[in-house]
Amino acid sequence: MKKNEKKSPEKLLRTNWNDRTKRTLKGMFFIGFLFLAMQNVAAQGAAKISGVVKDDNGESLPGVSVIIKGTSVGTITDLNGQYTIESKTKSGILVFSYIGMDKKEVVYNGGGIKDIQLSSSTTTLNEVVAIGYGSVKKRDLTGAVSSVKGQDITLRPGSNPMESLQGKVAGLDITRTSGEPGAGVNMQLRGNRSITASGTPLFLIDGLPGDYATLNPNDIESIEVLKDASSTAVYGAAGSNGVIIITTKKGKTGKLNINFDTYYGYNGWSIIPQMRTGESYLETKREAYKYVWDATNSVWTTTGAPWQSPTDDVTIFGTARYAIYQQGQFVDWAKEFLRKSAGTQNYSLSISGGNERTKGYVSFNYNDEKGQYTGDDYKQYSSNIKVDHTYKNWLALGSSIQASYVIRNRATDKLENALTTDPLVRTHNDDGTLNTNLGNNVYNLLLNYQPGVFANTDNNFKINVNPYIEIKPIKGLSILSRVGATFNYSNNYQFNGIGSVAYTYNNGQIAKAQITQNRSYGYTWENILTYNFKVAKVNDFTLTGVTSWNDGQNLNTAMYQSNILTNNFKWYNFTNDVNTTAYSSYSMSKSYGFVGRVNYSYLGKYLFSASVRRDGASALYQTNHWDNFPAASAAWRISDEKFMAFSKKWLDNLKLRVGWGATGVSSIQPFSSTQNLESSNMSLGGTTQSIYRYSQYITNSDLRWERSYNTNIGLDAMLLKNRIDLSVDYYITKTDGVIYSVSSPSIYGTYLPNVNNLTNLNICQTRNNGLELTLNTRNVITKDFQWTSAVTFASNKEKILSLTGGTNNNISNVNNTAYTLTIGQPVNSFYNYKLNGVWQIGQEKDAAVFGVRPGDLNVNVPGMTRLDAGVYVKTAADGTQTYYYTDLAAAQKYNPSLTAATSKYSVSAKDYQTVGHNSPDWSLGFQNGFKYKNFDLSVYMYMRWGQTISYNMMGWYQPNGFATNASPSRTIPKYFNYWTPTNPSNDFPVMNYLATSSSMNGFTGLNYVDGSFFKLKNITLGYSLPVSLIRKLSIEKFRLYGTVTNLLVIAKSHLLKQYDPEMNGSLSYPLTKQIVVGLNVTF
Amino acid sequence: MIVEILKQSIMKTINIKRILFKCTFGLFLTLYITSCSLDEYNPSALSAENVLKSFSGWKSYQSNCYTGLWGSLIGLNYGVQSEVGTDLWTFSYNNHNMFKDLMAYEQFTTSDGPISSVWNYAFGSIKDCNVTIQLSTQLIDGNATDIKSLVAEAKFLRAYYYSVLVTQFGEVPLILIDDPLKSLTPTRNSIPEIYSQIISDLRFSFQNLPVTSYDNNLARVTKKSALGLLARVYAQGAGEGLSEGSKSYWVRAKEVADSLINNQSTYGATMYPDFQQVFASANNRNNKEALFTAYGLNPYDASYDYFTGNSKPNLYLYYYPKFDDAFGTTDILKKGVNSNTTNAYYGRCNQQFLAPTKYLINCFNAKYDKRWENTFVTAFANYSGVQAIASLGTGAPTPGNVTYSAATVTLTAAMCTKYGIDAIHVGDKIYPYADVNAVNASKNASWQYIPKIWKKGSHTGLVTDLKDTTNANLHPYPLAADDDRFFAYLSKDPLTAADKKARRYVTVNIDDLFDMAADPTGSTYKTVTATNGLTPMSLANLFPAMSKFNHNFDGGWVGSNFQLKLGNIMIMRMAEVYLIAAEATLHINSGDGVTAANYLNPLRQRACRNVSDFNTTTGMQLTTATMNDVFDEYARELCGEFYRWALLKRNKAFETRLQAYNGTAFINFDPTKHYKRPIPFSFLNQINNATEFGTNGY
Repeated sequence: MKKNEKKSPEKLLRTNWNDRTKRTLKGMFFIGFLFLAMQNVAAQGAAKISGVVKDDNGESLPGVSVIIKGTSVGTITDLNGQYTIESKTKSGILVFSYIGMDKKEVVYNGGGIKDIQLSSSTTTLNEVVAIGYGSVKKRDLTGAVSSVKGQDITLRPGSNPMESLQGKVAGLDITRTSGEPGAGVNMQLRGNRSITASGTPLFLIDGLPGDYATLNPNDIESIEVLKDASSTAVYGAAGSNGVIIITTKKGKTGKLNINFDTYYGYNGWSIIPQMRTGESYLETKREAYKYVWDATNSVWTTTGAPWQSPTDDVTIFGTARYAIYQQGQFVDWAKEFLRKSAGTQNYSLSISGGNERTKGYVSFNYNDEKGQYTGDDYKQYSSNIKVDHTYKNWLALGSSIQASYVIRNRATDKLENALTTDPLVRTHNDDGTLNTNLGNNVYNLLLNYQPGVFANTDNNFKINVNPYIEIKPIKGLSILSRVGATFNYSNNYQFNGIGSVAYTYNNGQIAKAQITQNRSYGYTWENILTYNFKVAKVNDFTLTGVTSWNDGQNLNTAMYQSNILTNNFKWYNFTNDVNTTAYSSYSMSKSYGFVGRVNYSYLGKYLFSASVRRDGASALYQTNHWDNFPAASAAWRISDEKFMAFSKKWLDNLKLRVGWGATGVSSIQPFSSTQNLESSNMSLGGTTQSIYRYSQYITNSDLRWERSYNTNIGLDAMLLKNRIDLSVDYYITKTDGVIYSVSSPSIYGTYLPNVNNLTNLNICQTRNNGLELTLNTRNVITKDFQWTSAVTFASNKEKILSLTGGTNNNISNVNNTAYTLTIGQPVNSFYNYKLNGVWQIGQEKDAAVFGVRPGDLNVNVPGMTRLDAGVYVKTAADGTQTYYYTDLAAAQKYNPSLTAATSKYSVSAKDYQTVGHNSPDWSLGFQNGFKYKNFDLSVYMYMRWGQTISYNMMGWYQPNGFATNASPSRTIPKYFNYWTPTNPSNDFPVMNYLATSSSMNGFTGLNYVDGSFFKLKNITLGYSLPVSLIRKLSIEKFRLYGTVTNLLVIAKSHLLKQYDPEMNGSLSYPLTKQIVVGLNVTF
Repeated sequence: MIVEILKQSIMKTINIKRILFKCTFGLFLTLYITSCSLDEYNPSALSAENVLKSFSGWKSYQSNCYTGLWGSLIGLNYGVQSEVGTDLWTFSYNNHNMFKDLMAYEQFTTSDGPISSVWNYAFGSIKDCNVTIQLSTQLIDGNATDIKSLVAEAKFLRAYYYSVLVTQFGEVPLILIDDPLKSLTPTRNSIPEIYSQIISDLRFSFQNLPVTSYDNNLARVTKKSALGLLARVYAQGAGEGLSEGSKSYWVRAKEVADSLINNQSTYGATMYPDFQQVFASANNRNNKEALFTAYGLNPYDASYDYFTGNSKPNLYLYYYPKFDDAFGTTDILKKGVNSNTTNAYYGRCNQQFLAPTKYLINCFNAKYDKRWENTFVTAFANYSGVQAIASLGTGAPTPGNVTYSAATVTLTAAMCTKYGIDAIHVGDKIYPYADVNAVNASKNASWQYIPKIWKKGSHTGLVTDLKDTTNANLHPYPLAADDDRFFAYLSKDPLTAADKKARRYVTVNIDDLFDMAADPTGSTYKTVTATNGLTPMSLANLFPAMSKFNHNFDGGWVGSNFQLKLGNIMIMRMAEVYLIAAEATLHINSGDGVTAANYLNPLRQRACRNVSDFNTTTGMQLTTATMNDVFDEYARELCGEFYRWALLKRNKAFETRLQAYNGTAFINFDPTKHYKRPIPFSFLNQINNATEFGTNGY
């Protein structure tokens, strides 16, 4: 038989064309049953069983493994789902298994025909889930771990797999703020705990650090998100923001598997605010000049105002601009800048297979995404190669290589500036050249879109090489030693050539180029010892010991060239003369960790896990490198208890989980724990003087690890034969000694003029608590129609409990200056003027107390109470009351002891209040999947609620931007409802040529808007060719699909029109809608 | 059978043992190798211990003491804070909001930006002085004289920074050593303590500083600096009522001033015989009259790129009107100064914040006193780039590439109507006044726009018609009726309608710019309204532009940023010593007016347009002087030069002088708190005893 089989490929070559497809298929299976075949033939038995295996839909299933239980006898089904097996014994049990289907055992007694139907897997309990330094079955999990399958990630096309996770994992908040191709996402797990440390979770690809952004989404088998400290504590310091473990596909024993995935589509159709132009511009301009404030009578009047009638239009425009206005030369900047549709395409091919000893997986991916700005694109080439070899039964080794090369061209993306910029200009001169003199600080950004004038190009090469060796000397014991080596070469090239924006306006008409190179390389070496054994059959122990050593280095170099004579040279002709300069800098970090862990299971009913990690990091002060991070968790499968027997019919699983653990953060800048001396130069008396100065960070020898303590209580339930799968988690995380770089008071010196020295201090304590819910339901399951839903919900409350030992509060966050740290508020809180709206006509007396007038902003002053028209009292924290008034007699009614004629209140930064926080209160993901025969439809909706954003466009409202010769002239979105004496709006203050942002107290408070939104994020419609049809083409799966992304966005606030709040306030690179069509083929 | 099993199991055990042994060995190896330390390796860090103990290292560190001056303290923030809110400066039209706290004590709070910057700049460099002084005793090498001299510089600078702080903020923490432990509960020292420390530092400096700059580096202070500053500090401290033993600080101030005045040659101090020389371009880098200079950057030197200050000064542009707003950019003003490519003669004037009060303008008797046109630009002109085009051809950079004809305006009937120029001038031409060359100084400073002046009456547009200038900002005064090189003129002497008719340029009487009806103190400029009486009404944007900081010479430009200027800025010059002497004289023994006048006369004499003007008939020569004369003389001589607020403070003169000359500021001035500046909010937020430390009443 072996001989025969060997012949088949030869035959194959000789067969005629018609038979070829069938034969090819056989070829495909060849590798698959190479081993099984041998045993198959040798079998001489007392029973011969045969039959057909079919799926739910009655389609025959090829490649199903059929094994006689307890033996090594087995076979697989052929193309028609048929199998034949001979058993040595008369009776026994046949085990049928197939990926994605429930395993089925069938008892036989004597030979005969046994046709089998396998059903799609519905229970996920037996799925293997990756956890820290190991894996467990989902049923044995004790921590809070969310798992997402590869197919859920590829459902939403895109180059960054993490974007597809948005809303899929309760508690993992993901947003994308820029529509730029290749732009990353922001991630935050269970709220902000740290101030200095980034909130990004630890990413591990097959257990080792890797780059998820360039990972081909099609290579992903599954993603596990470890959320609670009992799961992440084994990663010690690195794990405090959660750990995301990406498991990539690997070769499998059996058939050769070829997947081809591609899509093609367009990005574009961004929502852009409609700006005032043409008549609406004129109207606003007139309104800006129609009124003047008569201070004597406290009234807005048209008397003496520059605009009285349309004959004054020329005055308020100025002659030159009026001429342009009359010609109707309004520029639609968005139109000038953005191209209508930008193509995006992706091709991905993977081949995998293997035999019992050696398995391999190879994939290639090419992704090409164009941006909405001309000249903006992102190309990514990546490959993933994986080889696993079992040399001896006790010795296995292998390696994986993940490599990527990215070329990214970036255009000048200043859309928000352009939109608000003067629309009344001529972008081009009469001769067709670009107009470089738009006047009044307006830059003609179109200069950078001329060919060869401007470039900002990245090319990044990354490679991760992860070899390993695993020894299993005795049953249950495994020793794994693995290395993750990372090499990262990032290059950025910038060119501001002759005619570019920088050349024309900033660089004094000198062309400049620069090359920045960042080489980082590092390795992780881990040794993992796992020993699994049973005591008295019912007690299952797994012991794990780990050592983990990390060493990373970073070398940055930068080169600059100026006075470049022609645009041909770009960055290719640095001349090594007086116009060339170079810089370099270096940083490093090392860390070392030891882990010990025990997992214990009693009959799978009582589960227990305890671990401790000892971690050391180089960035901390030399005497405080080390700390310990313990964790413990337990789970109880209630449904396995006898007293739950009554519920067996409808309750498949009920499990209670409780976990506690400590994690740490040491993420301070390298070299920032000790102050030392830097060497530099200064100019003194017009000559160069070499100088020394102290580094910015003042030594704090007491600095220790920031520690988070997390308690997690979870409940998993599965009901009605897996129709309902529910998981609920509640957590409390307290973080102590949060590290923060505190500005040292300047009285002790500064680092540079007006740049304070900093010290890392363990200053603050934060608390996060939240609720997470994941609900998967299978609503309708029939042969032809299926409807499934998935809901994820997460709410988080975040609070700073204390800040330093002193009276400090409301400290501007030096790491992210947009935010202020305030006791009792979330970490990323906005601290600014809280606005009551706009002072209205009739409130003149009240407004005058604050030195303002109707039409100005009404700032909410803490502790201020209105007593009467024009009489206020402010109660300070210590209870003292101060009266503010403009009319003494009126005020004396409340306090007869007042004597000063007036007492006005000056609004200042002292009146700042927390106006919101940037983290959401809750978020909700809702996915519905429908299947009708060969059609599949998925609709994904997402809500993010309660976050405040700082929307830059609001601050671009400048009443005097409409002044005759404003510097620069501005326009505003059409929907901005500003105040005029006849329009009592509360949104924006008075439109008046004499009013400016700096003359209006509270103006900066305008930026803060409720950013809550609902999004119809994604709709995908797919069609798979019937299996019966494609089998003949030797294809296993052939699916065509179309996807629309970001179809509908609804913002809660009326101040956010024509804007996608997910952008979090920015508008320089708007998020796009995306339409793609794609194809998945599996051979 | 059993034996075999045993054998096998033994073999197995051995195998396992071997494997286990190997594994254990491997693990130990791992531990051994990876147990290398977690210490950081920072190749760019140096050990202070090693470096700063050698003289050369210490000397290098000492230079940091100067970092706080040019581009930090002596820039916009202190420039505004030290001058406005006084009788000299007020808001220009449409800018009654920027700096309204400093200018008019309106909504003055602890969050004021310039105040906070001054606090940070001054204290920031004090640490470097402290470190320098502290380490000087531990040096392992170096010559004692050099060390003393450099320590004297550090003490001088520490004294200067503290003199700014004590003047502005009153009681501040007096920090004299750099302690590794930075207390977050700082305490304030008393004003006498601070002054006596400043004086002791200055005395040390005076004794140990050389007469000529150390290393011949003109940025470094000398003996005369110490003496000059000592006089100023005594005067300022005198205002606090301080005395040394039986001698009041006023007496001390006069003694020190006298000592410097009488021994000028001993200390290398001098006064230029002609006021025009003080701000002449050629004298900027090595000003003989300067006692203490914040030395700017040289764009031609590699050191340009090693600037360590906060930002290069743009102080000048705050004192200039926005020409675009006044004239538009389509007719007589050829090169808008607001525009991106901007103006290679004026720089980019887009701020328009600080305008002189009527009082300041009236201080000058321009008929005799040339300080007027050497301080204020009142005639505005276009410029050409004939030199630049001649030297670089098409490579001449914008905005230096203006041809002569492009810079020439031909008056149309529409222009004449618009600007109220008499119709007889229709068809007349207005030619450029200045012409610039363009030289690329260095890669980052880029272009220098080197000015020359077109000779009056020559209209060839050829380079041969250009003449060199001592100060390109200076224009002929009074402007001749037939001068065809200017398009607008703010006349100090009121011109009659007939006078105006003869002129082809836009003519405005400065008196007409003030809204005296609304504010008889002369601190309110008219607004742009149809009823302001100006033609066109937009001329209300104009005011005399104070040009002392508008360095317009080769080496003074940053051609990639027209708002920044690189020239030296004098922190103290000899003329101030005469003024201090006169002021102190009047404070001692109920005042000796004749002696005081004798101190003022040298300043007045050199300011005379003609030598013969110096007599009592013209009023240029004083026979006796009052405090008001002293205030006026300070204004004429030093306006803008970082002194006025301190002067009013030490003479407790805010109430009276604001009431008389700056009604805008007067209505909000609260003597109970405005004599001191608010303690910055940002600082209070960094310490643990903010309430106890206090805000100075804000």
